[in-house]
Amino acid sequence: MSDATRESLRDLAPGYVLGALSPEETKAFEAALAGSAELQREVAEFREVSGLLALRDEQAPAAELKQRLRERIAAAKTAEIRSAGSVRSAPRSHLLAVALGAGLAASLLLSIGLFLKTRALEDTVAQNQRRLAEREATLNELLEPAVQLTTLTATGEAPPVVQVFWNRTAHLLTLHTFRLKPAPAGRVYQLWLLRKQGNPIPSALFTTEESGHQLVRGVRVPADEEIGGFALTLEPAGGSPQPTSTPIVFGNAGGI
Amino acid sequence: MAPLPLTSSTESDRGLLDRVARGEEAALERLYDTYASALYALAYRIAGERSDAEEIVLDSFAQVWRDARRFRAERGSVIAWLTTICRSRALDLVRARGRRARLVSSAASADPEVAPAMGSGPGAESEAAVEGQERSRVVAEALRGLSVPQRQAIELAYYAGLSHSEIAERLGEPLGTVKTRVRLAMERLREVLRPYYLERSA
Repeated sequence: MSDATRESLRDLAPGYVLGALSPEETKAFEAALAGSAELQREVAEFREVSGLLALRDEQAPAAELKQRLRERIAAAKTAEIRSAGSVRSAPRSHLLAVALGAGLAASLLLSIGLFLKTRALEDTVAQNQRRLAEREATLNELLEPAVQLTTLTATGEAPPVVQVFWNRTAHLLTLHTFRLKPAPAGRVYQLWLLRKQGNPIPSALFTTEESGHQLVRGVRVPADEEIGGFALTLEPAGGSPQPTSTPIVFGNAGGI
Repeated sequence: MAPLPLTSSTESDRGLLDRVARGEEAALERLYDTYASALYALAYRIAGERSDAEEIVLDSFAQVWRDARRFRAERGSVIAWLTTICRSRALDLVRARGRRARLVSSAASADPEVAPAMGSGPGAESEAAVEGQERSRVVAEALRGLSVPQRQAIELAYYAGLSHSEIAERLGEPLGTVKTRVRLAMERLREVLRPYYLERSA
C-alpha cells in the first residue's frame, strides 16, 4: 500500500465510525481494515470519541424505567430457563389425588386442567419469546455496519428473489428468499460463491417453505477468496461440486 | 488537576460487564445507574419522543444483558459499545418511522433538543449524577471548541445519522469540504477527549 493510499484510508476512519461513508468507501475501507493494525487503532480511537459524544447530555429517565428493565430481564431469564428445558418438574397432582378422597377428585381434575392450560400458555409464551429472540439476533446480524446486501433475481413476472447479506468482517452470509418454490423431491437449492476468477465455490444447501420464504444463517465465506457474486441452482440432494444446471437467480456482490 | 476518566469510578465498566455476562442483575443495574441518564438523553435527542427514548434505553440494556458475553474489549470500551447500541437503535427507529426530517432539523439547529427530565432516576446528589454532570460538561466543552461549521457537520453525522453526501446536500456545500470538516472535527475531539478515555486493561 502506498503512503498516499494509506493516508487516504486513514482519512476515512472518522467517517467510517460515524457511518457517514458511501457504500463504495465503506467497502474499500473495510477491505483495508482487516489487514491494517494502524487502521484498527484509528477506528478504535474514533469509537471512543463517538462513545463520549453520547455523554454530552444527562437527563434522568422516569424512575419506573428501572423497574421495567428488571421486569424485562426477569422475562428474558424465564425464557432462557424454559428454552434450556431446565424447568421440568413433573406434575405430582395424581399422587395427591390418591391421598385425597373421592370428593376432591372433581376439583383436582379441574386443577389439573388449569395447570395444564397454564403450562401450555407458558410454553406458548416461551416459544414466542424464543422466536422473538431469534429474530432479534438475525436483525442484529443484518444491522452490523460491515454487512453488505446483494439481491439475486431473474427476469420474468414475479421472479424469485434471494437477498444475500454479507458480513465482510465476519465472513458470514445470511440468505433470505422470497417467491422461491420449495425444491422438487430429491433436489435442493445450492448457493454458489462466484470467484472473480476461477470456478464457483459450492456453498449452502437448502429448500424453502410453501410460502417461498426461507432464512439461512451462518453461511461461511472463505476469507482468502475474492468473491464477485452469488448464484443459485437446483442440484441433486446432497449438492454438487460444480453447478449442473442453469442459475435460477444470480447477482453481483457490491450492489446495495 | 489530572482529568478523571469519564466512566464509572467505583468499579470498572469491564468488571461490571463481566458480572453481567455471568448473569448478575445487580451489575446491570449499576451500569444502568451510571449511564441511563446519558443514554436516555441521547435517545431522546435522536428520537424526539419520550416514550420512544424510554423504549430505546430499555432495549439497549436488554441487549447488553443478552450480549454481554460477546463484548470484545480489544474493539473499544464498554461505554463506546453501549452508546453504539443505543445510537443505532435510535437511528433505526427514526428511519423506520420516517422522522428523519425532524431529526435533521433539530441536529442542524444552534440549540438542539434536550430530553425533558422525567424523574428522580439516579438522584441529583448521587455519585452517578455527579459523574454524569462532569461527563456532560467535558463533552459539551469539547464540542464548543469546534468551529460552527464543524460542529454542525458532527451534529448531522452523529445525531441525525447522515452520510457525508447527505450532509453536503443539506448544507449546500461541496462534498470534499464536508468530508474534511467531519474529519478535522473528529480529530480535534479526539485530541481534546483523549485524556478522558477509559484506561483499558492490557
